[in-house]
Amino acid sequence: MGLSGDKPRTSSGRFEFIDFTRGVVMAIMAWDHVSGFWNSLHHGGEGVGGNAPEFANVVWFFARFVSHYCAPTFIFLAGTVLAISTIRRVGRGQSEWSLSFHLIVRGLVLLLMEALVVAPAFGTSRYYFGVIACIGVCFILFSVARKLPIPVLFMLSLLTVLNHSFLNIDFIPDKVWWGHYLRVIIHEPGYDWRPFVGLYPIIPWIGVMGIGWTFGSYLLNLSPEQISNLREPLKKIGFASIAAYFVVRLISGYGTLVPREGFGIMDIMYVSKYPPSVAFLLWTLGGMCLFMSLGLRLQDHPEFHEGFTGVILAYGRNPLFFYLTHLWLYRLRPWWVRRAPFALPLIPTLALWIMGLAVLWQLCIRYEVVKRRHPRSFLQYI
Amino acid sequence: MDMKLTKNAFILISILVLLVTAFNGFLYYEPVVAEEELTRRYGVAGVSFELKRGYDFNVSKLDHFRLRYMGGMFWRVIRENETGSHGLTITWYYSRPMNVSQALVRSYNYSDAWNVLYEIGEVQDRTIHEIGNVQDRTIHQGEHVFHWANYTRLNSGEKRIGYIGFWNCSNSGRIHTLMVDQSEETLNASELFYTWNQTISTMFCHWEGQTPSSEEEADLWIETEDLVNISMMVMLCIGFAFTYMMEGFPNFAHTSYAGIGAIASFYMMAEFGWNPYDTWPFAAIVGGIVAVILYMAIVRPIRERGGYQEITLTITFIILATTLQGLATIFSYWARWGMGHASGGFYLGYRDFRWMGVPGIAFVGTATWILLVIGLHYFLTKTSTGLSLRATAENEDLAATIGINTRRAHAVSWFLSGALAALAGSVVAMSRGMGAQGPDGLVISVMTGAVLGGISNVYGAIIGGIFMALAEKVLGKVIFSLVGLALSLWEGLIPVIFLVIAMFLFPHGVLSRDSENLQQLKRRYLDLQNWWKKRTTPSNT
Repeated sequence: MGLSGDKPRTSSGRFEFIDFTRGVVMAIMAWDHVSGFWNSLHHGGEGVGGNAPEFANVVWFFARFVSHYCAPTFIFLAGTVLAISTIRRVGRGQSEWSLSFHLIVRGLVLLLMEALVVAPAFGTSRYYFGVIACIGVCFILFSVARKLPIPVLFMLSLLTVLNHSFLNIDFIPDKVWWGHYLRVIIHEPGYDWRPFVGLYPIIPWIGVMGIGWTFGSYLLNLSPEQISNLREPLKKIGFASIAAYFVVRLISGYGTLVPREGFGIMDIMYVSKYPPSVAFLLWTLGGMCLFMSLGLRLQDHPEFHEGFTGVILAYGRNPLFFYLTHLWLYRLRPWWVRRAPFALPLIPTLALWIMGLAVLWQLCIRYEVVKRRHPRSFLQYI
Repeated sequence: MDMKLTKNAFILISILVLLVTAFNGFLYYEPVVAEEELTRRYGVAGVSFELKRGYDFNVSKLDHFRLRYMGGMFWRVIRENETGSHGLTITWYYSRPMNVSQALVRSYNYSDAWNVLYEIGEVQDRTIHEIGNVQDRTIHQGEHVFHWANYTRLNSGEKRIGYIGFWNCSNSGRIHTLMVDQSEETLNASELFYTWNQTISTMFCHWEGQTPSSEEEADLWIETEDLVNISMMVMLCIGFAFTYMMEGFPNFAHTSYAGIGAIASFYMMAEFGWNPYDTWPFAAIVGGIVAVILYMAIVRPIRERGGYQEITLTITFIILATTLQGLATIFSYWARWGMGHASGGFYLGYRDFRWMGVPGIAFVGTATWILLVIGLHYFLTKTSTGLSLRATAENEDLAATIGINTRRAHAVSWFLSGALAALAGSVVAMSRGMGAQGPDGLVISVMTGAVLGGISNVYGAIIGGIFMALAEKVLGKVIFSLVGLALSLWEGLIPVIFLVIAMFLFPHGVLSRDSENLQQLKRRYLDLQNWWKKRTTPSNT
């Protein structure tokens, strides 16, 4: 097969630039959520039903805009890490059935987490189809899709990402709850029919995960030196994607989903996230490539595991734990209060964010120790 | 999955997919147009009065209005489709009973330009401050009453109609002044009143059984507010000096413990119905525990790590002060929205008793700080723990060599400091109330008090605290009487001035342990005396 899954890349067998990239976006994501919980000037829902939220000023626009990196990177790297772990398991001689079973269980655990932990934290219904549920369903689908040849998988994924805006699912009835919910889950994020709501449809996100899977399988073929040398190509891909973003957005035709209304900075940088437009993915995945390139550069530094990067790595090694914990931490209000009823200004919100990150850092470190002590427990899925 | 993705395969697939995409685009592309503008929805379940300046909200209970905080105690509700300043003007919380014309004055002061002609009944007036009493009408709902009168108003030739009045709770004595100003009468007084009665602010405006006191307040030789200030400042200054004595850095988060004390008292009273005075020990314990946690989580690790500890600790505690303020604000909103209690900050004075018409807090607060000082003196001079504290403050290494558990001594000092500050917060909550963000800017006054008394001297801190409690107000009055300059806007400047003077004249405090300051002051006095004698004594030559 040409994929040597048993070749360790670091002393712990981890690709630390991936942990770094994931850690960075986790921290940014925490900002998005703390801001969403506590600040009325923070808006989201870009693209749902063609909507373009009004931002109070450019500061709040970019306070939201920076968070766009999170979901695409999270899903892309979920695919990458899933490919790495799956291929390594194959290398260790694990049976096909147990591999598929493992992926299905992981997917179900994620669905369960979405319903029991994530949805209540957001104050939505337990039917909420968010990013964790989306990844969970994708994991289940990959229990089968993993058998596809990598080029085929890559082609299908790329096709999904670039062509999902042409998808027409009008054959699914919209006037019944199950039809509406099916649309929400498959391709049309929406909040119209509560409690059957969702923001991360499987299409095109499974395509993003598929590209991530391809990247993961590619990494396993490289020597540590070759991986280190990836930083230049990644940088080029990143900048090229961002350049392509501006082209797509300025033309404001294909790939935008929400048209550009002017030539102001907010008009040009406004993107549809729900569902993700091609422009959105170009910007965010391009940024992710730059983060990975930075991670590859930093990981050669002798103090990579200490200080600020050490903290980031701690987040990146425990992404799901971080995700589940940070929501409830930043919620910072009793369970009986469903929504934050007031606004914090920007600076206190930032203070709250940083304070939470410090707590999360300690929690992640401690969780990691516990998880290492119990490798066969339920914690292996989180 | 077995097949490897080669570079050529990658390029080929990418080109193929791009071609398919282009083909799809050619066949199916339709420009997407945004369906509708997104309206701002914030999910607010009532009127919030603690919004920061410049925020605007859709108010679900007043669903066709937006509420905007304009500054001070003034709020403006604006119709959804209306622009400019015409709408419903609300001044919030005026604690003394008013008649309609007084209410009008308050609204007017905040809202209108000077060239407005009012017609209320038969009265016409351009200078609203001089308007006579106006016969008002009333609407009742339970213990809430709305006094109001119609008016018309001419502003630059534009005629507008409306009514002016105030909402009053006969139990709590709370008042909201309301003024409606509209081009045509689409919202009548009853509608506004009933809607207003459904907001959280008014639904939970008082405690069960609470009635305003009608007893005339006795004339004490000192004002109630001053007594409370002294109680608060003494407790805070002692705690501040304690921390400085033990740790050697100024704890800028010290007054934030007062916020914790106020919150703890508020919570126990609001949620469990405790008498506010019963909550004081609880508040003190909570404040003490928080302080000990801060010591163990922040101070001790920084101390053990070495380096520039004092600077690090000072900056850390400045940040912490901001954080604690933020948390106090969050709790304030929990109280309002989660527990359903009205809390524009933390005010427990509703439940205070009165003696000779004077609020009980004046007596209880004073007695408390005096007893605390006596108890503290006994603790520091007679008990082994107190002595170990003093020994640790004097020389920690030496104290450790003679077997004193210095860590414990530090923890005890932090507990005492936190407990005293929290108690001060409970006192403030009982008198003028603590703001939603805790005691803003108080730390400068406390620091000044502690520096004046000798920052490493607990007894000096008592004197400094009393001085600062009285000086701010006295100086304000003196300046006002001399130059007619009201200092309310710049009162924050006074402690800073005192701090500068204190640092100049008594850098180690008035009651510092070494007498260098007094001797220096004496030298300066003698120098000045000699200089004066030389100028006034006639020369023999």
